Amino acid sequence: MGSIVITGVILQGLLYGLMVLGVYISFRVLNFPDLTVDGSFTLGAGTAAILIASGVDPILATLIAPVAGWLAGMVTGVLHSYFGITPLLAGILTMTGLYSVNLRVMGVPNLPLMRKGVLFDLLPAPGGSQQAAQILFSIFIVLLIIYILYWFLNTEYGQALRGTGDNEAMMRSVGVDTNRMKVIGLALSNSLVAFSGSMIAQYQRFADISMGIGMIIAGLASVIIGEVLLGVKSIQGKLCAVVIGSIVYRFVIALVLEIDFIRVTDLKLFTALLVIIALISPRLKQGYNRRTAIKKANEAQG
Amino acid sequence: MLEIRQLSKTFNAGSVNEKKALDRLSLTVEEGDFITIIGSNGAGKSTLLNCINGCLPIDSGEIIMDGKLLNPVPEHTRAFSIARLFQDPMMGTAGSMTVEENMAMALKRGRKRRLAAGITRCERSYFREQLVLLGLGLEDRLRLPVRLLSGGQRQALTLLMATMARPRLMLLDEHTSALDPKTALEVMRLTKVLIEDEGITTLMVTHNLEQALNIGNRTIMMHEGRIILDLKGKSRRDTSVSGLLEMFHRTSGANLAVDRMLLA
Repeated sequence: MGSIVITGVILQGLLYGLMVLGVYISFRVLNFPDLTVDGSFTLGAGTAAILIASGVDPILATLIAPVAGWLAGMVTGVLHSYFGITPLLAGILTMTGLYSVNLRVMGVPNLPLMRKGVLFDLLPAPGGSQQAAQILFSIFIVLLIIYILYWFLNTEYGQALRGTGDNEAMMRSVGVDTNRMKVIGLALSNSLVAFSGSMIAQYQRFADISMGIGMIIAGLASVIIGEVLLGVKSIQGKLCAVVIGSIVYRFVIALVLEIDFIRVTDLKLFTALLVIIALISPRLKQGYNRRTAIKKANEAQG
Repeated sequence: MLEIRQLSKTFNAGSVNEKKALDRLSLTVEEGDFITIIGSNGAGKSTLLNCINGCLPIDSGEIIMDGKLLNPVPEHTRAFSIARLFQDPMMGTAGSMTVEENMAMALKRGRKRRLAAGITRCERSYFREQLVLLGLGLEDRLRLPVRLLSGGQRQALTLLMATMARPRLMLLDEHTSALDPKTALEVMRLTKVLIEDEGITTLMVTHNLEQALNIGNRTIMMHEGRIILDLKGKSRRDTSVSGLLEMFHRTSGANLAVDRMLLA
């Protein structure tokens, strides 16, 4: 991999990292596997793209995208909290509906932004190095979001959100409206996902109706990789870890693509396998430890 | 203070598994009452508490607290004035969060949660003072995730949390029965100190007849969703455990044959 490719991968990892932070909020903080992500990512990308294509200022377009994601998350939250639909099904329903909504928003399945000014064009390019500026800018955005999330999760409200994901019955018993908490949490999560979508669309200069497919798995993979690799316990540590997980994930994908017989279309299978390995490895390790313990005990007995 | 009128609750109505848990039950609780509730399994003791705190919807009847009809009030709003302890020590605390975070969340019972710091320095020193009361050494472990504590420690902490923002009414549902005997005694001692001595109005379900007579000022016995015995004052003081068993036998025509109760 050349240096240009490496910086590109880091940049992608950071921008997708915003999505991973969103997945962390739903999957880990709320304990809610939220499939809305596949739809809300494209929603964010499509919203920003169509706004920019029709001449709206890219900064404004980037700020509107999370609002669209917020609404998508609220739909899933309401379906689950107030109508009792299971988390997985509520997410799938919203995601399915969003496919049509996204096409309506974008107008066409593929929306190029070739000759339009995007957020990244507004950055200064010292010494002609556009990419360095892009990376610095992305790091700044990611750190800002991590700081805001860290602050939020330690407020009274944020504690109630974390408590809701941990022990709903207890939170109701201390007077927290857990239904509302879940709606807000999912809205927050999906607004981050949509924000990420809008940044990716501007980075690659197009939005595509299928760009969100498999996004939740990529998000889960990044969360798990970050947790396993860094093994941190604190909230701020975990928020940083999952973004690093996102960068590592993008690197792994880039490396796998270097292998000759792998096609781009094989990536989804590869990602699924990666998540499966990450999810079952603690259990495999447990089984191995138990077997060696039994073996040792047997040997000790004679 | 709390008035329950003709409260009925049936599970699986209309099916073969129909179970009448509460049958036109009425009960008046006075300010400062500490009532112990006994009765065989399935008598409706837990269902009664679940209906009072709003965890279960009721079929008919009225629950009135401080002159206000509670029926339409959702559980989380009732929680502003009603605190509840579960039998399972894991239920009362959020395991992944720290001791001080759990306490901070409990302290905000009855208040709207804001975007302000979850724990202030002032609150932290207050938590430390409160934890000293438990005598478990938790005051030095404010930042420890609660899941690392033992069941007894968690239940003691839950008890403290329930009393911190003083509730109007406390519901205890066999809160010591999942603990080992020694720990159960300790949690019972804390119940006396933190709740009875503070004069918090309480309903406590227990399987321990001796405990039922020793703590509080009133004992009610439930059978098949109704109150079949209501002891207070002198008649309660004159009642022994064996007397209580006999009374149960006489009034209900059934045996209170629960080994757990006899042995406890």
